[in-house]
Amino acid sequence: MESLFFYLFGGLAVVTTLLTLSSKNPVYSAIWMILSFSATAGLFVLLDAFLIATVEVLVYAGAIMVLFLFVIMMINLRTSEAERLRLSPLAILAALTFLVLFGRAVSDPGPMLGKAPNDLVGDPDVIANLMFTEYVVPFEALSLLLTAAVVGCVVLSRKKVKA
Amino acid sequence: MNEFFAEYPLVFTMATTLAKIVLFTHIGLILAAYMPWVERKVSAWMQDRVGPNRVGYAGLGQPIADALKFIFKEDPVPGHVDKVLFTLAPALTVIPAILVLAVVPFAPAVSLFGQTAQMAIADLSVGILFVFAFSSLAVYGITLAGWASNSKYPLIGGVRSAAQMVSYELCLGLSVVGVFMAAQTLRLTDIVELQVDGYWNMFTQPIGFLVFVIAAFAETNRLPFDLPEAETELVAGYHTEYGSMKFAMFFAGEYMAMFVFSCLVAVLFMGGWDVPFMSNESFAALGNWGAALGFVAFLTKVLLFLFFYVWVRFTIPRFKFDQLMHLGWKVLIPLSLLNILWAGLWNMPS
Repeated sequence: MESLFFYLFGGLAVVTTLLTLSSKNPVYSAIWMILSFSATAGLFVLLDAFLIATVEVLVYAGAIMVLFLFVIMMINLRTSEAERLRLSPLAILAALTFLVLFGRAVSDPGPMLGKAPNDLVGDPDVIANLMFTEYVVPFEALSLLLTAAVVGCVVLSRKKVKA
Repeated sequence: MNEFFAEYPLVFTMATTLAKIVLFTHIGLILAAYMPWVERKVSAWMQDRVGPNRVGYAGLGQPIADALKFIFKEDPVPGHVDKVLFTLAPALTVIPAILVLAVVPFAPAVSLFGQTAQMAIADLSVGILFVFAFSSLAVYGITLAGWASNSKYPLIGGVRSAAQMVSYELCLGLSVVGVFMAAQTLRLTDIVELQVDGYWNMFTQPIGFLVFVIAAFAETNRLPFDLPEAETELVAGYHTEYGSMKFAMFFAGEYMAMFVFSCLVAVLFMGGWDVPFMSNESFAALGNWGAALGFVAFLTKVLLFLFFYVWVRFTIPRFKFDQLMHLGWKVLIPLSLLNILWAGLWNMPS
């Protein structure tokens, strides 16, 4: 039963991600991406990681994709301008970087895999306790970094008003 | 029966879960169908008119007549729309609202055949986050309807709705932080039980309550926040191009969302199934009658809040868009941060 759902959600995630990349219309790309996030959330549910699954839907499928759609609709993109895939040096560089990082992530999962994932993820209590005891400094540092990034965005996007 | 269910508790769980799904979603759907009638009657009462009174007693058959009319009308699809999304969008406004009902606790636990059944369809440990996750998907229906219609007023309505929902989701989420700081859990049943023994959150956290209520109006696109459909400027906003049953689906979605948010206000701030001067023990002492009493109390609160929705609609005029953004970002977010501080001080371990 569980493996059936795994293949269902996993397959859905792969197919919708491919459709995200291949859709010509950016709005459809966004919708396929929402479905892909939802399928990933389904995979997290299968791992008993309810908190992460919910956050995946809440943050990615909900908040972030709304912003994507908002921008697409605001600038009113219809079909994407670049009809054919062009191989620019930057694209190749980005792909290579991704491949290297991905290969490293797969070959060396790091210290986290040693712990049983179910102790870590299922319950919000466990995550909250870890976050505010063992990882409180990195957590606060990250919050500070994000706040700085938000302020930076606001400053950069402000129109220059001539005095 | 008792022995059978003691031997196969899974059968009991599945049977009760199915029963709960049927019961709770139908309460929602029937209320959503009758809300337009309530709305027209209350507005008539407030404006010294009669309101619908032709179909059935006191016009009670009016929603059925309206639904039949919508079903038998021609279903127009303009030539310039994106057909797939145009058809999908109305359904997308209804589905998230129904999904959120899955975690709402309607009553204290019921015992049947020697087993106990929680009166929420799924009593998740991440309850309140589940609510936000799915209510944040509600915006897609409206936004995509606006985009798929491929004409300017619906598009403006859709873009407005996206901006509005994102802005008010922030204060909605922040205003609830105080509630689960006080309860130290995200599970909705636990949050209610804590209020049954203690005080209702609306009294201990009045600011959070106020912010949540305002944000609930904005999230359901109700007046004074109905800018996505503002008739006076956008014809009908995102549903300008819709007719027949698709149009009715948008209405169903809006009323369903109102019902869900009324449930949430009742659960998070008004003590859920609590009746004043009752404790968890006195509910348990009454057994299943306690559960029935709690259910009635919960529905009463929901209906009162639904009435409040209508009351506000015919009292307060619509905001302008800049006022909407100003209220959301510069007033409500600081207020909800203040509420978090207040909740922290109130619940400080001594």
